[in-house]
Amino acid sequence: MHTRHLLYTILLPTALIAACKKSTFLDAKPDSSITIPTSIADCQALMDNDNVMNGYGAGYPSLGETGSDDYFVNSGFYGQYTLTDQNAVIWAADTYTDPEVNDWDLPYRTVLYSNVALKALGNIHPSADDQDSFNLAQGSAFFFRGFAYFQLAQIFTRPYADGDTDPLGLPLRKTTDINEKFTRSSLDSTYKQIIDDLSASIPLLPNTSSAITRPSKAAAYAMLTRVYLSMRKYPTALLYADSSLQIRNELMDYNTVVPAGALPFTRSNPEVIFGAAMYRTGPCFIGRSFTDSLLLASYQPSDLRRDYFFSRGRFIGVYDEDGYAFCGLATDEIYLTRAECYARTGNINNAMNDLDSLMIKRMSTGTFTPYTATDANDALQQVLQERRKELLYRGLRWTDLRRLNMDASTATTLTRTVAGTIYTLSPNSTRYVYYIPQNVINLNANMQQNPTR
Amino acid sequence: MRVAVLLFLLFLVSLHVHAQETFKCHVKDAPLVKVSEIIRQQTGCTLLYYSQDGPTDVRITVNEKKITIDDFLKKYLGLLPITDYIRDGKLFVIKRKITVSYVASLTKSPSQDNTTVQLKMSEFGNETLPGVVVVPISNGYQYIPKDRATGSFGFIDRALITRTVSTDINSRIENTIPGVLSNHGQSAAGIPIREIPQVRGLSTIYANASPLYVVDNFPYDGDINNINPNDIENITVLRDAAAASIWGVRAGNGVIVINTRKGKLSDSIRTLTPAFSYSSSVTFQARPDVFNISRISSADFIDRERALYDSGYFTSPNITPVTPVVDLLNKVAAGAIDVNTANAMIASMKNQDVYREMQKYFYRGSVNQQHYLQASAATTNAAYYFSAGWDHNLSDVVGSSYDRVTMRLHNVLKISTPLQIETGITFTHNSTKANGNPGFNYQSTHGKVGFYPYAQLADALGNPRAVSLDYSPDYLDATNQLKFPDWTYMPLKDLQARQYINRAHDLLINVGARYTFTRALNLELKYQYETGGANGNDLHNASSYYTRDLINSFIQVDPSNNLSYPIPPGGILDLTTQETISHQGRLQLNFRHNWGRQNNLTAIAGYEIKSLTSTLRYDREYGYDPDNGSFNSSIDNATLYSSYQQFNPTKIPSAPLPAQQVDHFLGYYLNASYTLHNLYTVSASAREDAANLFGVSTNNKTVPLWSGGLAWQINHERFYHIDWLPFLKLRATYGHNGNVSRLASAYTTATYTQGGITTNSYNVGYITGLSNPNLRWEQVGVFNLGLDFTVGKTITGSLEYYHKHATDLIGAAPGDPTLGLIQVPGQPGYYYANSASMNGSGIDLQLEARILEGQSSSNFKWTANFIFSKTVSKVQKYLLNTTTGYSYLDQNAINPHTGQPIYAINSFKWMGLDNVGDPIGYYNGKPSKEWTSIYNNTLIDSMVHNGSSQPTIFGALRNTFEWRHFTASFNISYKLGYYFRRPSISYSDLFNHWTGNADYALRWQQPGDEARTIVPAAGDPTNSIRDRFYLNSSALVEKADHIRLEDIVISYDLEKKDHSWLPFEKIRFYNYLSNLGLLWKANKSGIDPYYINIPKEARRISLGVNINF
Repeated sequence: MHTRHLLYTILLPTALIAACKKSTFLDAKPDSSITIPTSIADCQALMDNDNVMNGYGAGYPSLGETGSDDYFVNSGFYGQYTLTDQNAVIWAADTYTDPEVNDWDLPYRTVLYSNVALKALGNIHPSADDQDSFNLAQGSAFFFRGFAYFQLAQIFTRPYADGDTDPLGLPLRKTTDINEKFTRSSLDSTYKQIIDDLSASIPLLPNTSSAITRPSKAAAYAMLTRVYLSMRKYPTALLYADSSLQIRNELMDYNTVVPAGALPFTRSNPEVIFGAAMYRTGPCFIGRSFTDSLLLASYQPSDLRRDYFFSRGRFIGVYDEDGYAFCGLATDEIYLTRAECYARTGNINNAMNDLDSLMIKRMSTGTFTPYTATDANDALQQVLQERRKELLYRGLRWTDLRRLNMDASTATTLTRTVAGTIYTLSPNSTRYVYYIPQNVINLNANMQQNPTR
Repeated sequence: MRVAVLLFLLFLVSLHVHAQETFKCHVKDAPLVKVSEIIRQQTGCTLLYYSQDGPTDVRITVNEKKITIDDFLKKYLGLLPITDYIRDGKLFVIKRKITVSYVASLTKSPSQDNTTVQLKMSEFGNETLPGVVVVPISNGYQYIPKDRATGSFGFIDRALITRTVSTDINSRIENTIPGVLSNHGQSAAGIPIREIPQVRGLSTIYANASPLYVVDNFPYDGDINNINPNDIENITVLRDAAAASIWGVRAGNGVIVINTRKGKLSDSIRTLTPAFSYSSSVTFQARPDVFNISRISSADFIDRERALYDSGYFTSPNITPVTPVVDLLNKVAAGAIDVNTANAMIASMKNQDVYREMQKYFYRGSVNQQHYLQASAATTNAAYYFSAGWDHNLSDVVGSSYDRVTMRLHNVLKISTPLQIETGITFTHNSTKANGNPGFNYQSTHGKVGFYPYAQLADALGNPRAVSLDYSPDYLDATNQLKFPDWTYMPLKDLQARQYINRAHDLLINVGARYTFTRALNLELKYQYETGGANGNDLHNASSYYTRDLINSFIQVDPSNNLSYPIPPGGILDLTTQETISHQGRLQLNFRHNWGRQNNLTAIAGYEIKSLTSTLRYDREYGYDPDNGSFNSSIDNATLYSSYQQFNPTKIPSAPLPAQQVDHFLGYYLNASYTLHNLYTVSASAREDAANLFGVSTNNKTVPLWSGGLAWQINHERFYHIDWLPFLKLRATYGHNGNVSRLASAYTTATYTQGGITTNSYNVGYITGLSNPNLRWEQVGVFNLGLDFTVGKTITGSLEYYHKHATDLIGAAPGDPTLGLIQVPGQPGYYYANSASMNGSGIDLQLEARILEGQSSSNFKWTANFIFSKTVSKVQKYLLNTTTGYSYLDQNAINPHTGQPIYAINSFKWMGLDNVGDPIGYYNGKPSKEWTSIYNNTLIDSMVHNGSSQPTIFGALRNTFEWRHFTASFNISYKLGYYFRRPSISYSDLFNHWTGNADYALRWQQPGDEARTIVPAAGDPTNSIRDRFYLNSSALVEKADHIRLEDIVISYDLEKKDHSWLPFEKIRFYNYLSNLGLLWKANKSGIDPYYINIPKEARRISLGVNINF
């Protein structure tokens, strides 16, 4: 063989190697065990992470519940609370004693998971067979992001008011990039984002879901009604409540409930539309607070909730079997929301009918008397009273206080006595808005802190 | 293979010394070998030279009628790589022209041994220097003459590598090269480990800290233990940037370049008659000493047990296992047994010692055999090298063994004058076997760690006995009543119930071609294919305790006491399949040219590409029947099951998910050095790398890693006239190496498991890392200053100082919580980014002293080699510093803290014992017994920083004596400047885990004892925090500094020239003794820091023979 030929034989493969496309070669996935989420199944697995997305074992914000008036503490319980919770209990100006604030950190993790899924799904063109699973994953991601932003907004922004030009909304995360820097969006944009996300999920989600941890159309409607209620857009809230109840309207008859164990209800009881939990801390650690005495006294003896909700003055009626404080969506809330919206839009009969539908399931058999109202305001007051008595420890009271305080007729001044000192929280106080964690302010040059509390 | 081309030694020895001062020579463009032969014939003087390109490359024209050697050298030296010459049996180092800078023993290599060049080392070797060879050092890309090198190279040759006996390479490097630390310690599980050699301290935090192993030309992707040390020609360690930066992003931890033995073209025509050599050794080691483990006596344990029993500590029997003594006491209490009988039984238990039985039944003396055969032959156009090796090691753990077969074939073919081709095939197969031997550190999966001190493994007749370990007798009785399969554990019976075998293989195929365009320029193409794999087969028989325990703990009992078996009866087979395939290719242009006499430019430029894929698959079969290979495939891995009467819902364990890693690398490199007047050398290199780890966006903005260096051979200066310092060279380099961490990724990554918190069985994904397009290589900037010197004729050496600054290290950085990085509620979310940095500096010193130089072969010779290294490296910047001190207690965990070494010992301040025997710590500025507060709240800044847990000063002294045909040498090593935490008694572990400590006997027992002991009084067994404070206090931190007699070698050579009856050329018998123990230690506790609380290995004795045919 000629040397020259041999040389070419050697050089040819080298030339081929060198010519192989550099970007393809360097784009190879380095490790299979740390899968880069790319498929629909990958994204669905992120959405099915009940720890991160539903808050089981982690949790959605609890500072709202800690700041509300569902409960009181004795010094024993107070001493067991974290220093941050202790500050929240007494509405101290500075709440955090730790650089890490779960109320901020955990929901933003949910946002991240949603963004990762949405980004990956954006690169997928599903076949006809995959369309349903694609829709479920994408709809879930929209739903969870909207859900998480709403939870954040209740803690870190002021309550929504029509025409509010408050610039201090939430930072809205758009990418999955680790180098992203944040600024705050306006309050209006924040709520627009929440509503857009939830609305986007509706056409994608199935009417009902195969597990309470997965979002559904019923859940998206239910969440939208919660959002619009908090925004005091009652006619819209009414529509969404109605839509939700058209899909899911079952209520448990407490007369037939057989307590499952130490806690009376199961996690997937028939009323639960979507399961989610608050961070298990402060009063959200079930059994570590006493229910407000006046509230407790307001239950009639024939009200079964008195038996199922409370044990030795402590609330145990969570819609969860492991003692997580439930902050998900259930039909009872939607009935009450629709009733309130009916009352506020002058439809007294429908308001009372909704109240009846709920309360007949709550009173012991034979003791229920249908509700009547003298006027719309009377109807509203009755609905609000039952709302208060039904939706304890669900993180809803804080949101309700914030919106009800904006109307002088429903405003409440909260007081709490801890170790002999009386603390008060006046309506519309700046202390209804918690500070953004200092960490976040420090790391983002353009991040504005909330008004001084 | 390159050694054949590049390292060429010409030895022409005149048997009839007839020295004439002058010679005549008329040749035109003749090979140097021819000129050398002319000179040898006329003068009896032998020229020694090196060549990077083989004998044909060095060609000269000489036209001299009458010239002396000296004049010849003066005139031609600039053109020739001549280093020394031998005249009248003496070796002359050519001073001030080209000077020998590395000195190594000559060994006869059969491939160099041919009929016309009959070389006998001893003929001159023992008379002058032991033989002086300039070995060009290899960095894996090129050979660099040592005298022109600017960088820091550590080198060991074959003589030194084969001085010791071992199966692996790493142990051959130990104590031979300054700056290379082979630390010894023990794993968390108590297994003695020799750490991977660390070159000049750590330069990374979380990335792989292993140096890059290069075998011949390419990084080795297999297990380095696959390589047979007998196949090694030499090893070069690249320590600084100038030496290593050619390896770019993989050089940050130093590079160990291993050159194997290869076929070498001969300069003379010769038939392919092979030369053979055979070597064989057997190493004996007595069984390890388990009594080195500090342990509580059975009597003390039982006394304490009874006292606690009387105080009601062992409450009503439940599932928790109890010792036989507690069981007896329970039975006495229940009236089931008579007190006196029980007391008599307990008294006899006090004399039992489970360690005695472990020593007897779990351990044995080890026997390691090593056999090696090699054959080689060479002509001017073709050469080969073949070797086969077999290692057969019977480990000191009963039932464990290791076997390895290695085979190599290397060929070099000169196809035509410009084209040369090399091929190599290396095959390794090994198998590791083990049985059900739990060893001294049996770890129950159910809580207790190890056997209680008086456990009886065998009865008086040696029959296996059951030990109580995982469950209480009551629980076992209850399950027995329900007809559960036998649930007792008999460790000795269990030995044979497990068969573990892991078979691994590795195949390496090399092809290389070189085309020479001109004398100055050639092109090389190299390709390597490597495929390796391992198949692990771990069978726990149906009768094994492991299998029975797992099956039984999943048995479900229905209300009518019927049993169901979620795990089917039968054996459990775990299979592991690992596969690695790599392709590496390189195209390189080499240029070298001499101008005038003493100016030289060497340059290389190249491109390389690598693709490595490794996969790992696991499989687990339940209900496995080894007789017919059948198993049960219908296992419900999703349902949660609780054991009988327990509430611990768990899923049936299933095999881990398969894993695959793909590494793609591309690199371009350039390396050049210019030498002016043989005085000044300037070197520079640059390299740019790209990898798939970072994604394309980062790769598009890579920064090249580079180095630059200067060398000044002072003794070549005209003004230099220091006769006692005939050789002096100063070197300085600076440059950057890189490193890769897999912790961070340019991509968003997630892991998946089945089932979340709720009862759904959905797959659940967790995001483990966020896309970080700004990820970069870690960089290590290294400054190196070196001085090479020769003092008189006696001492040669080098002294180096270095400073390293590692930046862009991958470290955990606290992330903006808004990024969603939080993993654990309340803990800061973090991500890995190029956020950390480290600083390090050190000194490496190497000296060789030829203390006695024999004038003839019968005289006594004494050579001493001394190496010394000091290295300090500290974290300079780390963003995720924790403040709590207890986070830094584990000296074996990576827990970076600014200002500390990566592996450091921190401890609680110790204030002695008080007058009730309680340990006193320090809290809020005053002595305190609030152990919980001390433990939880002491800040790292208030801890006692004892220092590094890795040696900061280390080295060795090796003395070699030669007399006639005897050689003896011994090596003493030292490791200084580091600390360890010695174990002591933990009263909570004593009964929670049954792990005791001899310190129990030294405990505080009565007031006044606090003056004589630091061991706290026996405390409440539930108060673990008191123990944890004591165990982590500064009272138990000891200096680990020690000096150790590493080994002794004695060998005797017989050669045919002396003993004509010998059927072979040469035979060497040797005796190698190693692991000879401590000569000195700093600690007063009698602890050998290599074996802190583990069985101490015994001395090893090797007997071996090498035969050259």
